[in-house]
Amino acid sequence: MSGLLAMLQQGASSLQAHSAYSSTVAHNLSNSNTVGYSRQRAEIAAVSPADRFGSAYIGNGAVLQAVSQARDRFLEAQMPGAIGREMASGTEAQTLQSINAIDLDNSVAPSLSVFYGQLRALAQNPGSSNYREAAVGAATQLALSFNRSSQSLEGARAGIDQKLEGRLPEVNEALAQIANLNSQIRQARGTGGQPNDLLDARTRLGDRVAEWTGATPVPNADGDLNLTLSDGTSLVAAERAAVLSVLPDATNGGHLRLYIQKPDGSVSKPLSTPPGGELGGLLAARDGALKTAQTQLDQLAFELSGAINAAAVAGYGLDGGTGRPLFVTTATAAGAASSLVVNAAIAADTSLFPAGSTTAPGDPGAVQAMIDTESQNLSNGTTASGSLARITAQFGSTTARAASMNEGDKAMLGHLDGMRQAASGVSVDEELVNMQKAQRAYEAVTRVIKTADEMLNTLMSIKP
Amino acid sequence: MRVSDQALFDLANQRIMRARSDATRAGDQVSSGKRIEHPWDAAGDAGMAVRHQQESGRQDGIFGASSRAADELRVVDSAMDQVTTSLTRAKELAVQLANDTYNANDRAGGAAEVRQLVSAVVSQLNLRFGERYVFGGMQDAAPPFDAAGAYLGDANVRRVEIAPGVLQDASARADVALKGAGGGLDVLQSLQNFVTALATNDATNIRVAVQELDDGIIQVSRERSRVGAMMNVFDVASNMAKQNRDAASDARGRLEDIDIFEASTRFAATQRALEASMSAASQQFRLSLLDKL
Repeated sequence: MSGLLAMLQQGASSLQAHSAYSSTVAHNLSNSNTVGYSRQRAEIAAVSPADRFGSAYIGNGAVLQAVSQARDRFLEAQMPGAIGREMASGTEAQTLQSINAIDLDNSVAPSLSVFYGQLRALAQNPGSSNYREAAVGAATQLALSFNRSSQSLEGARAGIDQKLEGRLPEVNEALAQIANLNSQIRQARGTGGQPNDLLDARTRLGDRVAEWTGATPVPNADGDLNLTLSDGTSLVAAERAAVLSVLPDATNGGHLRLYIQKPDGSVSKPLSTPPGGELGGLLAARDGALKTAQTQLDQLAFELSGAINAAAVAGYGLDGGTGRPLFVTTATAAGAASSLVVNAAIAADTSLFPAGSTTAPGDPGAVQAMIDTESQNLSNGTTASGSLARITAQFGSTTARAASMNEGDKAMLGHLDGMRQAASGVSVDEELVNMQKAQRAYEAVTRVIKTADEMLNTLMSIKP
Repeated sequence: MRVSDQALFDLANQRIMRARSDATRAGDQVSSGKRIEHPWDAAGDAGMAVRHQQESGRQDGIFGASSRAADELRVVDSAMDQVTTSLTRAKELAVQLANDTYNANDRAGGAAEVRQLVSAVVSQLNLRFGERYVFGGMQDAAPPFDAAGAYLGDANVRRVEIAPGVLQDASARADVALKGAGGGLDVLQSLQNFVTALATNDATNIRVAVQELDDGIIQVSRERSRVGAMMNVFDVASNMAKQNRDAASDARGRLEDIDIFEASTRFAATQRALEASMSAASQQFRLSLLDKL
């Protein structure tokens, strides 16, 4: 009789185990599309110890031993770095590819060409009001092209600042959540369980932080997810998180600089090296190709206008006046492209255009000297058109490099993600088979309980 | 390899997106005809394209300047031809009226015709091309000759660029051709002297005028020859600049423009790849144990 009762008890325990197995399968199926979810397995084991009857052992059925996660630690360790690299190169490439100020038909080059063309026409007829108007118009167009290109680059850099500032609350929130999850996971583990969904949530957040900052996990003995940047700066240390912030940097045109208050709560300091991930990509674009192009445009505008002005101030207008520059800009190269304008007096009265090297109305000496600047080398050892070609090629090359790196990073991330999915992802087909398996086992155990019940009834129906 | 459903969908998504991106880019290139729309499409070629663009613009400027200079010189040559014609007519009159068979009345009538010729010559020399007087040197804002034939211009010669940094004379020296600057004959003064000789029935000075007008015609012709030579230089320069401009444009085009056959083939191939990736994805999605249980 006690054996039959034990059978019933075993049945109940086994039903529970197979029910848990089914629930785990159902959980997996429900999360088959959840990003960062790792499939779980209900591990069913035989109950031990078995009961001993004489020299034999009779088993006590099955019990749910654990619900574990399918994770490949090797892959998991590589994922954040790959995510950060892909995001950094992708963000840089995407940001640079959104700029059209350096495009061939949209840059300063066509205006520069038209400007010199109009100077040549004016040199043939320096007294002509028509050609003077056209030359001043072309000079204005050239100045506007410099303004527009420079402002477009500066606008892009300012846009990056806004994006940086807008992203930080999310980053800080994620860092705080990871620190909090570290605490919760420690507590859950203290009770002997494995908080799989909390682990998934923490991994997901870790991946997000890697996307934004390129931070990678540093394992510790307590099973915390500690995150550090590439230079070792800690973002999360156990149950404490760093706080990122931005402040304008006067040495970089007032653009924002990243500051960090480390997890130990120390005073906020500038980040010594740029982060990776999206923030790194944004900073690389802002302070790399965009800044270089802007600086080169400023230098070109400054030197070109300086060379033209040198010829202009030596020239004479039709009124006999001299000493007038054609362009007005800043005293140094910084900001020259964005502030370049045609001398207002000349723009208002083109007869003041200093075309001649004498007061003779047909003297094109000063215009010819301006035309000669087209062939003069600037401080970078090349002409103005050579400088534009260099700016175009350098910007294109940096953008293409970032895009090409992103292709490689994307392929690497895709490969790792595929491997991770292979190890941890949910296969609906597989889960359906497991569901069938659990259902069969559940039915079989039910049959065992029914059989035990019938056997007990049979036993109870024996009349003494 | 174990394939999760998410991996299946993600992979299909990535492949379709990549194939669509390739097809869109190929389609853009076919429709725009451009291989390089942005510097990063081919950085080195984009830089070279800027250089070719600038060179094309520079050569176009030189072509325009040379062509305009040649046109202007043709007008100058035509005016000098008219001056030569007037001088030739004056010389004919001088030869004719130097003959003692003509009396004072005949010569007074000749003087009236020569005065008209002087006016015609001065009018030709005050020719404007566009907004400028072409015979005044750099004093081109006002007529270079007054009614009496006095020269009000200067001795400067305008110069026009025929190649980067290379300048060529581009104007006639009316002061040399007509006023004898630099040791020549003052042709207009000779005409005035001829008028006086005719008016005063001075046969001796009429005979002097024959020789002076002959010398004047030679002097003007010499300047015309110089103008002709300049015209030739500018014609050659404009042709060369045009060729250089077209060569630079072609070079830019070769860098920037697509090979339409290659691009069309690539476009068709990318469309096929897109279709194939979509078909493969839909086939993979169709097979599921869900439909079999």
